[in-house]
Amino acid sequence: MRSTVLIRCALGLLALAAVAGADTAGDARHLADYQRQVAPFVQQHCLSCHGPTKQKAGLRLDGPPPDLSDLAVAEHWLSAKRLVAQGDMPPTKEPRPAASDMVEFMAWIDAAAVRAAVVTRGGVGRRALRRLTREEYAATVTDLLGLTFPGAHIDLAGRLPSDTVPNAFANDSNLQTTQALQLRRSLDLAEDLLDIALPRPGTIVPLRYDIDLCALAAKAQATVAALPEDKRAKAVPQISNAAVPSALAGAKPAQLTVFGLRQPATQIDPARGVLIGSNPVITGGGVQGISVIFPSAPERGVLRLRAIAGATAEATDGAPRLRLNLAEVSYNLTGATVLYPCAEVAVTAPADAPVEYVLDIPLALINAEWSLFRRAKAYRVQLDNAAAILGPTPPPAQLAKDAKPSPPPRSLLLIRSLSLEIVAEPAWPAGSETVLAPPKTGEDESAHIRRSLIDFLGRAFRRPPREDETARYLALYQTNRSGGADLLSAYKTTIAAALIAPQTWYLMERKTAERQPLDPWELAARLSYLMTAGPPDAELRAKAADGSLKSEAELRRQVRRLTDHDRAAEFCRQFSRQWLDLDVISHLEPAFTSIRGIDQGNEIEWYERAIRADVLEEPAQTLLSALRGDVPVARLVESDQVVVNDRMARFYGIDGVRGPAWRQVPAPADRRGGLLTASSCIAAATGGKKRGEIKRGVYLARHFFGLDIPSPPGNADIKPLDIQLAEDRKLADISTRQHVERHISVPTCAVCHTRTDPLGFAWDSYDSCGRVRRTKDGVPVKADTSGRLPDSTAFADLDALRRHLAGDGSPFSETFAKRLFAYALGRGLDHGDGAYLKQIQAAAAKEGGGLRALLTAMVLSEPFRTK
Amino acid sequence: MPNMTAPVHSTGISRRTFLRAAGVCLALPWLESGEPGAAATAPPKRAVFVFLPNGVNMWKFHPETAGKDFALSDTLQPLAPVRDRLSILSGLQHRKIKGGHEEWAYLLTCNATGVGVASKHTAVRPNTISIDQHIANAIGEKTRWPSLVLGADGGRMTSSFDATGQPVLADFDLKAIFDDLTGADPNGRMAHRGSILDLVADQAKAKRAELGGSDQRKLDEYLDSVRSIEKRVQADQSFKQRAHGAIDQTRLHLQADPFKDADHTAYVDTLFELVVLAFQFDCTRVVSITTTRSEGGGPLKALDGGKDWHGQGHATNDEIAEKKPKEYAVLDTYDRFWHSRLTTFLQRLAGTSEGGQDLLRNTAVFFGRGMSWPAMHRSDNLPLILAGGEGLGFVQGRHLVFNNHPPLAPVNAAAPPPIKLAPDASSVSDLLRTISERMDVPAAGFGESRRTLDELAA
Repeated sequence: MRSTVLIRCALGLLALAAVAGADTAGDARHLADYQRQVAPFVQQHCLSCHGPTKQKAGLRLDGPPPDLSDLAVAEHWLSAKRLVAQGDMPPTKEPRPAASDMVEFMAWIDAAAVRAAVVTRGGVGRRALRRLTREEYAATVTDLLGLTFPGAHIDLAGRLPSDTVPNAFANDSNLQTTQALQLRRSLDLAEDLLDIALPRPGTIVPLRYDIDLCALAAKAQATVAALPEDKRAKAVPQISNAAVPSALAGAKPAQLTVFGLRQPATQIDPARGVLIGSNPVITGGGVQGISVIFPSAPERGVLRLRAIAGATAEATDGAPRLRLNLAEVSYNLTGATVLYPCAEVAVTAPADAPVEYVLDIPLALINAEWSLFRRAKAYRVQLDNAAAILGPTPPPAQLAKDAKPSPPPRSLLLIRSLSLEIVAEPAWPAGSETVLAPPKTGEDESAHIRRSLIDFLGRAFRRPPREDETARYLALYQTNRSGGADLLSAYKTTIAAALIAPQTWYLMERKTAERQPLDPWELAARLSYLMTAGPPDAELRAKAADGSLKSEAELRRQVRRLTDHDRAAEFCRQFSRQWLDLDVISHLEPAFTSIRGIDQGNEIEWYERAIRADVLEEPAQTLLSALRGDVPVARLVESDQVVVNDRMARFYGIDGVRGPAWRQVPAPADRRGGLLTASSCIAAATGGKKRGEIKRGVYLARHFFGLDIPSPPGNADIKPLDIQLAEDRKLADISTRQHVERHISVPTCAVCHTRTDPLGFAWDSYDSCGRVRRTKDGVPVKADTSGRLPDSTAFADLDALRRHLAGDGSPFSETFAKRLFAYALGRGLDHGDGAYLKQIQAAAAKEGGGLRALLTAMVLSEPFRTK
Repeated sequence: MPNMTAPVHSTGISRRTFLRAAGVCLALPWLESGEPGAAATAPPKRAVFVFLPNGVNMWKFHPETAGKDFALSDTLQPLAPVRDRLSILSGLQHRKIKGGHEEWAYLLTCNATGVGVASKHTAVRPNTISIDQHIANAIGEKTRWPSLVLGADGGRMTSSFDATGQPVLADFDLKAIFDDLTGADPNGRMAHRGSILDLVADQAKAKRAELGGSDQRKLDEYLDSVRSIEKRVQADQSFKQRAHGAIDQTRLHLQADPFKDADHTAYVDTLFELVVLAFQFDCTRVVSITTTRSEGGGPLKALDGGKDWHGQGHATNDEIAEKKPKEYAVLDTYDRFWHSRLTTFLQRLAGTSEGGQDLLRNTAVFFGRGMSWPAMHRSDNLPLILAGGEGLGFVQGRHLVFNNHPPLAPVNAAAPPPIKLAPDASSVSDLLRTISERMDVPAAGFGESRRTLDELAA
């Protein structure tokens, strides 16, 4: 289908001509230059390998003048230019082109790239219209609708089609596309959330149960006490199918059961309540928890749990997690159960001073098997302690071979009392004044809706709506209203439209032919999507409205403020996840939770998910901590501190970290601080392989040294390394290191692999999950972590590599700055951005060279502040 | 963040057992009762293109003898119940494409131009239109949706590409697909969609005038998306007007999570079941399914028989079976898994009647892998199966050998080298083109095609 490509080239040229408009003379000159400067060069030096007969690396350079506004074409030609510039092409055995010919060849490609940039993004150093990524979209809609579900396990972005672009940020406006599937699912999501924010009155049946567990415990104790003396000794207190009266008139009672307790006599305590062991437990136990069977199966509304809870403190364990699950009624409690975990919160209050914890669960967003609940006309709310914390790996000295270690003592979750409620709407629609302003007295409906809409559209569009925009939305409202819809549904339809409107969907920036400063609203939007991965908050909007955001001092103040914003963590999460390619961690095959000698069998799922979420979170928290502490970027690799929560601390074998908050602690002896030895990076690099040296080398080269390593050619006549090595009959005689070295002996591979492979052994002391590799006897494996840098400088071990990365002209800091700048700008870096980056780094250095200073300098830079 | 909303199975009883008990009925539209005179007209012609990941255990795939009396080879045994409704094809491959990891992206485009250029933008660029989209462009207007593009990975992990070579995003969300399909519209939203889309299209047009040329290009994607949703809404609404029947939900496990080992079967079966429903409702006539990627992590990995399927494929080193029994055993597990799932799907199509015929009769089903011998990701003699579509003229129940491909001799050697293709050799392009043309959509010039494979219909 070569013909299609040719047609596309031709069309591209037409488009080019159309945009350039009057400058047809310039077009003619550009094409003439191609015939003069490029075609002969290509003919002479390239076509024997990249022409009609052969297309090495899939590259073909003959044909009409290329249109670089096609990203794929641009990639080919720009990489051709790069290789010529580096002297890698033509290959060394071929005759060298004359220097003047090379200069002309490269100059034409540059000129073509500049012309293409006009077509694709308005010019070099500018960006195309940027769409919100799926995470940003979900955050935007929830923010606009005033919804938050702290603690709820709801992955809203996961409901939208993935929009990742390999090796680029999802926010790269030049690469993003919009497709119907995205828009359709986004509208579905927006309407789902809108139904939660503005429920139809009367559709939610309120329900409420207030449960005093001390009283139930006392009753259970009394029952035992009332037994005849001979039976009393063996009896234990039980709370089983206790009827819990409804707190609201007319509703049936719920049934409460406390199940699975290991030591009911102490765990059911009239003075304190019910104490629940961690669940699922590591060894030999069933599930324990509290089950409340609802007499109906409400599917809409918010299920709110308020629990007065606390935790007993065990030194070897972290904070218990109070988790709420839904489950079917008809299965026995400790037997076959499918749990739908809905929300959880870490309980840190001491058991002797319990406090209230609240979980809000929007039922409509819970991905449970509702048809089962509907059929049973009831479901079970199960509360348990999902601490999911790892026992410490027992030190080998203390553990005889094959001995079963006993699990460490776990903290217990105390619940004194609880209240379960289906929250019904208050008098004026559903608690969401954010979406629909309450009417003022004396105001007619049209004025009321208009006022409310102007406010909403202003937040959705991230600037005040223009009169014609407001009028168009009001017209939709009126049409629906006169078609018989009531106020609420007519308004909701209007809001749904605003939630997928182009002004919401894109970060609209009005551009002219020349680069111009952003207006304050556009600047506020760029800044907030950078630093909070969400829409501007009230203060940013105010600063945009009064224009003060234009001043450098105010911008600095805002960067400073947003650094401490709750959602700064989200920025760090989005950036680190994409920069370090961490998504794969959720689905790697090897278990992160294997604890030697402890059979966790089916109980492991929840542990796995919990620890992987933490592993994924560590780089984000490391970044956040560096951002807030304004720590130099090099310290992200050269640090003696790790940022962990209690679970991550256990995973790394660090004692004494309690509670779910992330904090900095000294790195353990078998690990360095910062990102270079973070389990996340090692695991993502290794991709679940048993031996992943080559992958690790590529990962280090890409992410820490910033090398642009292409994927291996799929059609090259080469065999995968393992095959090639397996064919080597001397296989048994050579080490893995020697295997990898042979890899470089294949010329096709050597181009890249000479730079990447020698890095790969630096992580040799860590396994595929980033744990310290140990022998069968539990002794850390003695690993040779020496290698060579991409520029062939030898390094002795991981520490030496670390020093190289962080040292003079730190390649890591350089790489990091480039990636962060691309993320901040929402586009790939362009010609000329290098110069800005130098200025930025110089400016940051003057202010101490910290991460916040760097980010501030980026925000203040011309590319960030212009469009 | 990993998906924390998925259920936790706190004990051993399988989710499948649990869900099987969950059969409930919903009132939903039913084509046969809903369309007066439907039986009088000829049933529509349809096609399903299923990409299956990785290669197979080639020692156990292709039958030994050609023709009608072939015996199903070892890993094809699960297909026994539908043997007479399908044909095993030997000796077909792409003409120019050699093996590699992007096989999912060119199986249905047969585009050798960009292969191996692992580009940042799409897996294979410049890509060209895939056969399903080519057919959809011609006949998509006739149904509610031009085509259905599915896959457990979803998003850009898709075998479908539009006319400009851009990937068509694959849908993975079973529940959402089901709701769309059945027009369940539980919250009564469809009625307002038209006016919402009108408004945002107006806004986009107004904004378009204010933007520079480069941004207009982007905004046009938005406008195209709005238009395509509008069409869908109209089609869905007119669909809803029709009469309602019952739909059996026992086969639908809409909560199945493809990342969860225990749910693999349920997920794949449900995905296929949704295709059956889509055909029953005549929502679309062209479907492509990129089941899952071959390499690395992702959904539908790790069956009980062994893990790291892709790696095991490499590890066979394409040796004789006896040398690598463990590795080949893992491949066998996967091969049988997929063939069992295909059987279930074909049986469902065969068991569903439409105007006195069964659905499978009028549906050509292509099951294709882009790799054969797995160790080096070879792509010669691809393991291909064509099922159903007798109503389109295909004759089934045979093992057809193309390009005089020699049977695999039980020699004491590793995999034989690829045969040298004659200049007029038949290719996968020819097969895909034949399916297209049997659906009355001319496809001369598609991919590397030079002819139609009329022997499939003789």
